[in-house]
Amino acid sequence: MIMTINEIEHSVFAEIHNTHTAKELEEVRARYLGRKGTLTSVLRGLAELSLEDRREIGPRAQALRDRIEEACEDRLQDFEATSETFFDVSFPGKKITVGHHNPLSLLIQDTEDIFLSLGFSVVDGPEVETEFNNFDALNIPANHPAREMWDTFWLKRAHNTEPRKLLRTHTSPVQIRYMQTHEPPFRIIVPGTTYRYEATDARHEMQFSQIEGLAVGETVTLANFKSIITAFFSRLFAQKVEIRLRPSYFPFVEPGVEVDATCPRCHKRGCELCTFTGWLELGGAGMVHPHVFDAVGYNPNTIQGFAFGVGAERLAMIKYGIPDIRLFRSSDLRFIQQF
Amino acid sequence: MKFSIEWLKDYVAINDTPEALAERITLHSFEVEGLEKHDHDILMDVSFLPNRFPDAANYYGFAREVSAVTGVPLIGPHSLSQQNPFSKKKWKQTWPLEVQNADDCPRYSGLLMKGVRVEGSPTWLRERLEINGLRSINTVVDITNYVMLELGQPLHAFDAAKVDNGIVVRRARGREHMTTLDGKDVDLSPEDLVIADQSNVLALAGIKGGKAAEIISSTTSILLEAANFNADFVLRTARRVGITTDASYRFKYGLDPNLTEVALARAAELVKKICGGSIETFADAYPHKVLPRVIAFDPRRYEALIGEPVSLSSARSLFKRLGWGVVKAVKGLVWVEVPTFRRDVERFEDVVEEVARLRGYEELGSIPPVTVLLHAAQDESIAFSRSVKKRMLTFGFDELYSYSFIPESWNVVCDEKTLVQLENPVSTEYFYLRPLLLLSLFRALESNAKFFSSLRFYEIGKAFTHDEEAGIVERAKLAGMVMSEEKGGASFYELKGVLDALFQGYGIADVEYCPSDAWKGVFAQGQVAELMVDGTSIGFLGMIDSKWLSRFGVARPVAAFELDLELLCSAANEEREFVPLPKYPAVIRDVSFLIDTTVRIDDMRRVINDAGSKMLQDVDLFDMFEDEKLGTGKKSISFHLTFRSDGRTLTSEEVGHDMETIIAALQKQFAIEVR
Repeated sequence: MIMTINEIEHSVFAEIHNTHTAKELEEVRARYLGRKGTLTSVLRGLAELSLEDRREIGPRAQALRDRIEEACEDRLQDFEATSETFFDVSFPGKKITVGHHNPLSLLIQDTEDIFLSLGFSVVDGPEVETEFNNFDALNIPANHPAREMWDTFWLKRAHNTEPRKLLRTHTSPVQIRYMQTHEPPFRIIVPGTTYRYEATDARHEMQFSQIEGLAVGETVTLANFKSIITAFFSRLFAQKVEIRLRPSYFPFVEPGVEVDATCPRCHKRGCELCTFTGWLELGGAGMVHPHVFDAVGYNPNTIQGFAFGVGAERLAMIKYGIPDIRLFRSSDLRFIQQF
Repeated sequence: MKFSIEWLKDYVAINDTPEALAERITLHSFEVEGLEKHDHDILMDVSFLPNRFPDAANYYGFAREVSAVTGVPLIGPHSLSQQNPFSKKKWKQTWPLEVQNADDCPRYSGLLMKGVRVEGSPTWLRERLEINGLRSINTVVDITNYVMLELGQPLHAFDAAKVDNGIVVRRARGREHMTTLDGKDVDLSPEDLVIADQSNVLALAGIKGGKAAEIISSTTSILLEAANFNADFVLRTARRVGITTDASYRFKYGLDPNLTEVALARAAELVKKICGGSIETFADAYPHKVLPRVIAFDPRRYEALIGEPVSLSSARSLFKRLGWGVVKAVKGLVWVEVPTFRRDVERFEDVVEEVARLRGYEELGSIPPVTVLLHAAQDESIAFSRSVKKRMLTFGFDELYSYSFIPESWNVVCDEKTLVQLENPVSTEYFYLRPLLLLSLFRALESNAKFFSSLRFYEIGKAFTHDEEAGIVERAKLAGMVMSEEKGGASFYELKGVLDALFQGYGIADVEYCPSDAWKGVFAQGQVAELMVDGTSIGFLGMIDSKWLSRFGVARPVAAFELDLELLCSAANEEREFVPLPKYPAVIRDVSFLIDTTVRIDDMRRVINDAGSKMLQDVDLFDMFEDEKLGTGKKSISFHLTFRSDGRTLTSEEVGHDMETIIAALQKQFAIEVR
């Protein structure tokens, strides 16, 4: 089938533009303008056309031939640049050293920003804590079997008369510090480093980061918590997330719940990340136990609130698909430079 | 704990599939870890948290929970639901029982049975024990274990013929010892609670029985013990002697003292059925009876806490499912009587949880809070470290998170008294808390030096020291390291340039780099500067000691710095004010000097600045080198000097005059030669 002039016009210039060597260019030229070239055959066929058609097509075909020749000339110059004008745009750019955030910082900063927008302040606290703030004030008295839920690093004392100090096992003691110095209503989150005396593996660390949340006022409810935590996870994972609460036990809340979210990777269909359940266990929460309010001098009859805690590493592992919790503190720059 | 579904059916009809039941239990009660096939049975693995372990980590208790969740009533042996089967009765004869301290042992119940045959257990009994990982011993011992699985109350059986004139529950005496059933010799201390007769220690309370009154095949009379021991003793002694048993594990969480009698009745029923024999007599030491709590439930307060209403009638039907009675109802309020097996239910909020979880949290709406508008802000420490991280990123530094611990062998870096030591380190590798944050960065240096020819990384974290007066001092720090491809002090000056840019970014103008000998052994001697701002030390910058570096297999020179983040923050001033752009051009003169290598640049700069030129705007070092041609001990130094006036264009005579003044001042101060 002979190509029409329109078809030739439509394809030839793109083909010329897409050549990368003089040889490729010559092949294209030959295809259109060579002895058996498509445009050449159009020109040859003119004789067989009616006078009227000849008058219309003839000049157009001639003009097209000139334009193709011109375009080939231009393109050829690109390939035949002299050493003086040679400029290799494909040469690699000069390397600029850029730094990288640890993914843990990215996750924590995202979390802070989301909660700031929900009206939560971001509060800091120390890593070395008193036994009172870490346990007793949180309704976990000494010898209570619940203390075994937190394996603790204790610090040596210079004298046995000093009160025992420890590395905080959760960020919850900051709840105590904050409530002792502030009056409700308030909403805070507390990101920070925490420690557990335990063997490390792909899912456990002896040092990790937690984000604690606390909202206290006269009318704060568990249903409010569900709303806030749904908003948080939906924004963190940039998709609509469903939240499921299940009964659980933490001495400093009552009722206490486990917080599950629909798996952001498979959207509840089931995948390896969620061990084919469609749900991910993302944290603990509940309504602040009246004993905790007692410990900080609030009136538990008029004040109530919710508290929650999530693991920053766990959320980062889900968000970025990181398989091993130990990578965060591995100091491996090949890992950090991915973020 | 694993539950056989078939066995559970002894107590409650199960109409759901195992999967459906597992889902309901997970959503309303406890986390079901999994289901596994076991012959024609399914085992449900349930994980209990400390609050519900005592009442629910046993077959009857778990069946009770299944009943509450599903609404299917409990069936099951009559003996499990009777109240006080023995203590109501008048016993004609009795046997001596003494509990020396009711705090140590709130209740001790014993049942004497005679005419018992001790044999191998029937198959069904052996199988049920095996499902739960218990080995069959003989009929009597197996029955005690079976009842523990069924009711959660540990029991012990003594050969009554070997018990010398009754039981005493007391603290062990000094130098007493016993041999446990599995042949372990245990030296006792007065901290241990024991079960004894008049001559021997028979058992470690709540942990393990002893050889002295062991049940053997010839035993015909048995003393069944069901007691309630103070959990502290059980926990402490179990830990001290290193024996943990199913019994000690259960006592640890605290049991209902009213359970002892029910458990004995159930055991007696099984003994009679399997081993024959009859009940001889019962003894009980239970001075302070634990009574059910009565708690008021107000649906309005429920709604205030949970956020959604519950009707009184639906709450009442849930209490009924739980087996809790309503003892009083007035004006929309009810008082529920919580059975003593639920010792975790202490107050209104606990009752709220029961109602909320049985109704199901999945039904709970998601209601945005209606609240006062609060000013949400970040603590300054957090906002500042975020800002520093952003700057370090632009300087090309990667951010690390490391462990706060350093190895025991690193105590050479400072006076050991200033180190914070762990009472229970996981290993000698993680022994002290780091007194300097930058110590943690050496691990990163070690592991990355083989992959990269140059390195730039930093961390923001805490450092910890022990101070005689202040105790443990925890400070937020910023530390970073540079390993440059160039030799010599290049890393130092590279890092110094980064710090200068950092300080400039925070509007900190006058940072003095004072020679220091701090952290000897880590920093190379004479190659460390203490950074001073307004007379306050805010940190260090230095070359790392090559011997210290060789610990990490690094041969290239490395520089490191550490700044106190709080001090940096308080020195920072990010306020900016516009300064009018210069109207008249500047004149720049270059000048090179030959000078002794030991002259410090800062000292030359000070002389130049103080020479008296009012037009001098800036002194900028742009070249420095040493060369044999210059002669030993000499270096060439070149400065750009920038002169400008805000009032006029400067003439070259004016600038030349000032240049002469400056050179004269330098020549007066140093042995210097203009090149």
